[in-house]
Amino acid sequence: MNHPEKETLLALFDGELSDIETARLERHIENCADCRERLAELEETSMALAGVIAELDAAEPDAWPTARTVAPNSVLGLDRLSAQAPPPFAPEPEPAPVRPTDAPLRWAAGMLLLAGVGAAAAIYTRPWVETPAPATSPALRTAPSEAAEPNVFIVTPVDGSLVVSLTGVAAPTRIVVLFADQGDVTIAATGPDELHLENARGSATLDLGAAPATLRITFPSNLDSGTIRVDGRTIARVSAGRMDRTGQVEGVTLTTEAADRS
Amino acid sequence: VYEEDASDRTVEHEAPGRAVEAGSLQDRIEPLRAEILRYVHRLTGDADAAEDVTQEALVRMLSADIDEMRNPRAWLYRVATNLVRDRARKLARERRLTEPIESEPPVRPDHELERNETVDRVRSVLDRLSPRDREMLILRESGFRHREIAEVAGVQPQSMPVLAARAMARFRAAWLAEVGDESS
Repeated sequence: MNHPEKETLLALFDGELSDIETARLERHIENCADCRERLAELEETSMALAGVIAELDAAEPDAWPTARTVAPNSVLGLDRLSAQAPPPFAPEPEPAPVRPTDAPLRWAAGMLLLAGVGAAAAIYTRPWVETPAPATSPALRTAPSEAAEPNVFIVTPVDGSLVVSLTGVAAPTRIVVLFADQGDVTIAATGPDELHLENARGSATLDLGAAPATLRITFPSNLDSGTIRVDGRTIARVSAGRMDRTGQVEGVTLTTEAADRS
Repeated sequence: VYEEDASDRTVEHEAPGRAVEAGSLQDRIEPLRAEILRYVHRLTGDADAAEDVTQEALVRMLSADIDEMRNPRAWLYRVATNLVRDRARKLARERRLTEPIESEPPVRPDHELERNETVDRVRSVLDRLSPRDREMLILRESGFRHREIAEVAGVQPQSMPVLAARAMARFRAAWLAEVGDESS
């Protein structure tokens, strides 16, 4: 097939394509270094945008309420549109719902970019891409620095798994987890009755409702990459047993622990 | 293995419209204040403008029939977006009509200067973009799906993939220009 247009790649990256179209692109990308590099570029642009916006948010007046206190869509029935309408540009109808275990996370092709050969070139020639940016200036960091180190912690996986717990999430909060591997990723939340989990194509979206919650995400140690976003902000990236914190969100703390394999 | 059944696009314990039954309209929309404040602040970088626009948007929502809206949240974002556009047009008009007034910059402590400089620089990245690009990118970063962004920004949903991809490309160029400025 021909190389996908940039808008198609963005739609893939944003999880906007149908499963059929996604699978078709994956097959191409798996064998196309150029497209893997284009996706890597998209990822770094997306991360840069998140950093720029986080910087602006940090300049909000202290007296403002935090956006975490915003009601989730479901409180006002605001998610009706999302529940009803398919993506307008999905070229084919969505197939019948498929359990994630039946639909392997082959969207990995999109996110595997971080480990791909083409991506490697992009990353290592632009050190600021992989720099774990401190909360003070994530967007414009140009080189790794000592100051960034407190925001990075290394976790040695035990029994092949890494558990990330988000505690102190004062709901309502939208958490998006992107993962890039065909390994098992388990996600469980405790606390809110209003938990909404939607996941497809290598991503999971959780809308936490009116009560604080604890979210436990178990990543396999061989996960090539994963990203955790809270209310649109990327707060952590996970790769090969290492978690890099990329941003701070008030009320959200990240801890890690060995997976319970019992 | 997913502990939650992700095939369920709707949640079994989610009761559509349940919150609509309880509380006054004001109670129901008030929680959106913080969200709109943040959105407008991201768009404009102006806290006063964010407060004015948010208040106006919420007042308009109070007088609207929220239960008849297909997507009230998108509706509110759209109202706020239009108010920001109106405000920008008004400011541009005023700027054309008035002479710039030179004034002494306020004296600030060093750490505040440094902080402001950082904010100015990230702001300048977004200011290199068109208002519509800014809106789309900020909405996307706020977690909206493309079809919702189209609804808020007032563009055809079918156009979204191309418009969003162009906006991302222009952001990338602006960001690289800024990073280049920093390293030079």
